[in-house]
Amino acid sequence: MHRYIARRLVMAAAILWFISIAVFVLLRVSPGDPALLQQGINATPEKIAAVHRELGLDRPLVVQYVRWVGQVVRGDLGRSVLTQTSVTEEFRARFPVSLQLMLMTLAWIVLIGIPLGIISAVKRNSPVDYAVRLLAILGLSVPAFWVATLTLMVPAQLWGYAPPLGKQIALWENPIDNLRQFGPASLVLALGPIASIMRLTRSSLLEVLRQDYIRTARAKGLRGRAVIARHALKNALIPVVTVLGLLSAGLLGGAVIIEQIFALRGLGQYIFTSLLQKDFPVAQSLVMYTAAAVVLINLVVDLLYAVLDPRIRYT
Amino acid sequence: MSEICGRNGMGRRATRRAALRGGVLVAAGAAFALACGGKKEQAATGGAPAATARAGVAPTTAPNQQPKVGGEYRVGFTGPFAGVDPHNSVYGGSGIVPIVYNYLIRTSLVAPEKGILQELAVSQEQPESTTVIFKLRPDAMIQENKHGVPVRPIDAEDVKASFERVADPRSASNGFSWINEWVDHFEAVDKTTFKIVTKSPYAWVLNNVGNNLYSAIVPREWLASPDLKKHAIGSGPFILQSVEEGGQAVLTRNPNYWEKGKPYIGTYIIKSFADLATYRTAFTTNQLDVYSAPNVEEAKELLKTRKDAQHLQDPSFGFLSFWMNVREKPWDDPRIRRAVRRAVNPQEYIQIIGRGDGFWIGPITYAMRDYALPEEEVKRLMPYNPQEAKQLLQAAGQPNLTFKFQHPTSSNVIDYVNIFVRQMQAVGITAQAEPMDAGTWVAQYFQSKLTASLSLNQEYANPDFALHWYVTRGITGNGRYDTGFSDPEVDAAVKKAAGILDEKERIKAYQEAQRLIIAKDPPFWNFFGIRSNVLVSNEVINYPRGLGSLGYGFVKDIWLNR
Amino acid sequence: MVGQTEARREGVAALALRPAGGALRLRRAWQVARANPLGVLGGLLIATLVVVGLFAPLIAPYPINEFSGLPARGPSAAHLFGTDKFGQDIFSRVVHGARISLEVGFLAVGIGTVVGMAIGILSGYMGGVVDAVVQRCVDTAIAFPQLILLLVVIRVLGPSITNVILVVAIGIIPGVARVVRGAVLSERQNQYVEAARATGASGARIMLRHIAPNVLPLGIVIATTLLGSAILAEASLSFLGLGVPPPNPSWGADISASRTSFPINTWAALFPGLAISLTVLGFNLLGDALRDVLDPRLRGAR
Repeated sequence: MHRYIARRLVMAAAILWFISIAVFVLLRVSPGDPALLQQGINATPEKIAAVHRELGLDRPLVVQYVRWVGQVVRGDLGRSVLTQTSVTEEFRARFPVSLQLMLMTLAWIVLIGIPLGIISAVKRNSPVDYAVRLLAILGLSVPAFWVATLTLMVPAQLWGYAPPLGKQIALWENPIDNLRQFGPASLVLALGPIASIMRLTRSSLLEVLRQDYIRTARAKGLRGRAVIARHALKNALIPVVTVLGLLSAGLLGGAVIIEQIFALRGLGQYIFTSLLQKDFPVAQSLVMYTAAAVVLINLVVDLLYAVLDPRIRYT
Repeated sequence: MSEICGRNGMGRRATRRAALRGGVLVAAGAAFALACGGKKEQAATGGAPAATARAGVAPTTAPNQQPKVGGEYRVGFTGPFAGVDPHNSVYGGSGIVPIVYNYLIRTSLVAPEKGILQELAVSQEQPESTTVIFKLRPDAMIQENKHGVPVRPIDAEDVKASFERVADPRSASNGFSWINEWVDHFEAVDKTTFKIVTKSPYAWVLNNVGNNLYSAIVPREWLASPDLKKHAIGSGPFILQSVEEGGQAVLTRNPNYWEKGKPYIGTYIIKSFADLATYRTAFTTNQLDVYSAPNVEEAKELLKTRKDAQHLQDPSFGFLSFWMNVREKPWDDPRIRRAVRRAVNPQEYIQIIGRGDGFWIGPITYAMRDYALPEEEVKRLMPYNPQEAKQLLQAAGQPNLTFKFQHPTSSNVIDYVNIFVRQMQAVGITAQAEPMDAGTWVAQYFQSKLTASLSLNQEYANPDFALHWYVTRGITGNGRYDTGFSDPEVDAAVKKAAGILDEKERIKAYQEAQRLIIAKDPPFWNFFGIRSNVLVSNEVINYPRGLGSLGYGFVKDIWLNR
Repeated sequence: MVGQTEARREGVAALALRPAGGALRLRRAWQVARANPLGVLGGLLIATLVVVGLFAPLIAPYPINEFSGLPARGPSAAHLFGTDKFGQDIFSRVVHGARISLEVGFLAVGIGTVVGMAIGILSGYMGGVVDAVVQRCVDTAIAFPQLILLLVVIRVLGPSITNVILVVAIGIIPGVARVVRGAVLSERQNQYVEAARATGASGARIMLRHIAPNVLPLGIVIATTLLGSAILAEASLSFLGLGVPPPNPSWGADISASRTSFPINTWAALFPGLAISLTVLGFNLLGDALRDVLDPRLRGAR
C-alpha cells in the first residue's frame, strides 16, 4: 500500500513538472508581447525594455524558467502585467467563487444524477428507464453556453428577471441573493455531468447486479431493496466516485464560459483573459494551479479507489 | 453653479482670447441649460425651455426641484479596468480617472457651444501667441486618503509635475505626442499660476489640456507612488474606494469637494462585464442606470423591455478604419489603394451595422463639426464605384488581386469584416481575413508588422490628432502604428493648420488638408461615423449627453430622483 | 504461419456461416434495428446531417454571405428560419454550417482516433519502458485542463479551420490512447497472440493484423461518441471567438454573434443551437447503439 502511494506521489510530481515546462514554453513561444499590451498605443522602446527587465523577459529561457519556479515555490505568484494587481490577491478573491460554483455543481450532480441513475437501473427497460436515458442523452447533447444564454436572457426578456450581476454576494451576507447568483449557473454547468453520472451509475449498478455475489445474496433470501442497498450500491458507486473526482478537477479549473455569461468573478474567467492577453505571470500561475489541482484530485481519487477496492492495491 | 454658466460662456473675451478656446464656438443655445442644471435658464439666446429636454437635460427634468443628495448610481461597460493610471490607461481608466481627478479645464470638440468648463483653472489667458497662462483656484483640496498623500490644495507644482510626467516618454501616454511636438516648457510661476510655452503658435493647447485621457492633474506625491496605477487619489468629486478587476469599481461622494454641495450622487458604481449580453441583461433587469447600445434598433427594442428609460442619440468620435502598410505590396501602389476604397460602400455598413443611422466621413469625423468635410463632398471625393475599382485593378495589372488583412476578434469588428470581404469579392478581389486575439493584434499593429488591418480606432480629441495618421512617422510621431506613408505636402498642410489661431481660417485649412490627403489615395480611411445610442433611466437627472468626454466634467451635476 | 492459417480458417468458417442472400441479411439488419430504436433515430439524424452537409449548396436557398433580407427578422416565406443581424438567411447559414461542423468533426475525430489508437496499441502491446513513458505523457495531457490546452494551442497556431481541427484532434488523442491501451492489455492475454508470437510473427505484424482489428470496434464506438464532443468543442471555441474565423458559417460562432443583438435576434440564437443539439444527440444515440451492438460484454448491461 505504501509503495503504491509513494509511486503515485512521484508520478504526480513528475507530471506537474512536465506541465510546468509545457506551459512556460508555449506561452513564451506564441506571438505577442505582454509589454506592448500593457503600454498600449504609446509604448516606447524604453518603456518596453523596462517592462521586459521587470518580467525578466530579457534573460534566456532557462533562466526565466528557473526564476519562475523559484518564485512559485516561495509563494510569490507575481503581478498581473495588465492590472498590476498581485496574482495572490486576485486568487484569494476569486477562489471562493469558483469553489462555491464547483461545490454546488457537484451537489446537483449527486442529488440528481445518482438517484436517477439508480432508478433507471432498478426499473430497467421500463418507460421510466427510457425517459431517464433520453434525458441523459439530451443533457449531453446541448451546448452549455447555449443553455446558459437562454437561461439568463429568456427570463429577462419575458419577466424582467435576472440574478444579481456584476458583484458576487457572499453566502453569509445574503443567502437568497447568493443562491440566485450561483443556482442557475451551477445547474447549467451540471447538465452535462449529470447526464454522464446518470448513465454511469446506471450501467455500473446493472453490472454489479449481474454479479454472482448478488445472486448469492438473493438466494439467501434477502429482499430486493436490501440487496441493492447493502451490497450492490456500495460497489456500484466506486467508479462513480472516481468519475466525480475527475469531474470536479475539471470544474475547479474551468467553467470559463459559464462564468463569463453569468458574470461570476471566478478563476475560469481569470485564466481565459490572462491567456488571451499574454499576461504571463497570471497565466502561468493559474494554469499550473489548475493542473496541480487536477493532479491532486486524481491522486486522491486513485488512493480512495485503492482503499475501497482491495483488488487494486496489489497490482 | 458651474463656471460655464456664470463665466466665460457668453463671449466675454473676444478675439484672441476667444481663439484660446481651442477653436470652440461660443454660441448660445439651449445646450447651456444643461450645465445650469435646469435650475434657471441663463440668458441663452434662442434657447427656449422646451428645447431643454432635447439638448441635454436627460429624462424627467424637474426644473425647479432641489437636487437630492445621495443614492447609488450604477453604470457598466464591457472590458477590463486595466489599471487607473491617470495618463495612460488602455481603457481610459474606464470612467474612474476623469471623476477622481480634476483637470485644469474640460472641453470637447463635439460640443463646442458648451465652451470651456473651468475646473482647477479659474481663468486662462494668452498674452502672446505662444504662451498660455492659467490661474488656479486655491481651494481644490486633495482627497482624504490612507496612502500618506497630504491633504492640501492642489497647486501649480502639481500641475507642472503632472504634465511633465505626460511629457516623459517612459510614461507611455497619448499626450506625449502633442507635448513633444509643440511644447517648449511648462512653468509653475507661483502657487496659483501655471504657464505653458509653445515652440510656435498652436491652436490646440486648450483642447489637449482639457482632454480627459491624458491631462489629469495629480498630486505630486502621488505621482511618485508605486501604487499610481492601482489606485487613484485626486481632488475630484469622487473618491475611489475599490477596484475589482472583472468585478466592479466603487466610488463615493467627496464630502470636501471644492464645489460646495456637489457632487450629488452618493455612491458611484462601475461594473465591468466580460460579456456584452450580460451587460445588456443587467440593464434590462434594472441593475444598471445607463446602457450604451451598439445601434439604434437595439436601443429602441430594449426600451420595450425597460420602459422607465430614455433613448439618447448623440455624436460619437468612434469609428472603424482600414489601415494599409504602404511598405508592403500591394499597398505601395496608389491605384490599388484607390481601387479598394472605391469597392467599399459605406452605405451598406450604415445600413446593416448602424441600422440606417450613420454618416459618410473623410479623415475627420462628423462629430468634430465644422472641421469635417460635408457628407456630400465625401461622397463625391471618395465614392462607391465598383466599375472604377475594376478599371483601376486592370490598370495596375492585378484584376484578381488577393491580399491578407488582420483584425482583432471582437464582435463588432467581425461584423465589419463580413461585409468588407463581400464587397471586395464583388469586384474580384479576394480579401483573406486573419483574425487575431486583441493582444497579438495590438502588438503587431504597434510595430507596423501588419500588412493591412481592420479595426476600431481610438477617439481622437482634435483634428490634429486625426490627421496625424497621414503624417510622416505616423500617429504618435515616433513611428508606431506607422503606415509608412510619407508626403511632405501633407506634412506641411497638417502642421500649418495646427498653427492657425483664427478659427475660420483654421477650419478652412483643415478642410484643404483633408482634400489634399484624399487626393493622395490615403493608406487609412474610416468606414463611417457612428452615433452613440445611450439608454438612461428616468431616475437619472442631468445625464450629460452629447458632450463626449466633456461629459465627465458634468458628472458632479447628476442626481438621482429616487 | 499458423496465424495466417487460423485467420483463413476463421474466414472460411465465417463464409460458411454467413447467411446466403441479401434477404436474410436484411432481416438481420431489421432485427438489430428494432432492438435499438434510439440508435436508428440517431442514425437517421446523422444521415440527414450528412446529406444536408454534402448537398448544402443545393439545399440552401441563398449563398452564404449574401445579405438577402432585412436584418434580424423572424421566420417568413422567404427566410425559413429568419435572418440574422446582417440580413443573412439563417436557414442557409445553418445548412452550410452543417458542412463545417461535419468537416471539423469527422476530420478531427478521424485524426485523433487513428493517432490515439496507434499510440494506445503501441503502448499497450510493447509494455515496459515504452508503455510507462507514454502513459505518463498521456496522464499529463489528461491532467491539463482541456479548454486551456485548446486556448493555448490556438493562440500559438492562430484561428483557422485547419488549426481548429488540429486542436480538437489533439484534445482527443490522450483519452483514446488510454482506453485503447486498456483494451490492448486484455487482448494481449489472448491465446491467438501467444500463438502468433510462437510462430515468429513480428510485433508489428501482430499489432497490425491481430490486435488492431480486434480493438477496432471499440475505436469506432469511441469515435462515434467523440464526434459529438468534437462538434461541441468546435462550437465552444467559435463561441469564444477562437474557432473557425468569420465569415464562415459556424454554428457556435453564429450563436455568439447573435447574442450581441438579443433580444431582437432570438432566431439567430435558437436555430444554430438546435442544430448543434440535434447533431450531437444523433451521434450520442448512434454511439450508444453501436456500443451495445458491437461490444458483447456490455450487452448484458442493457
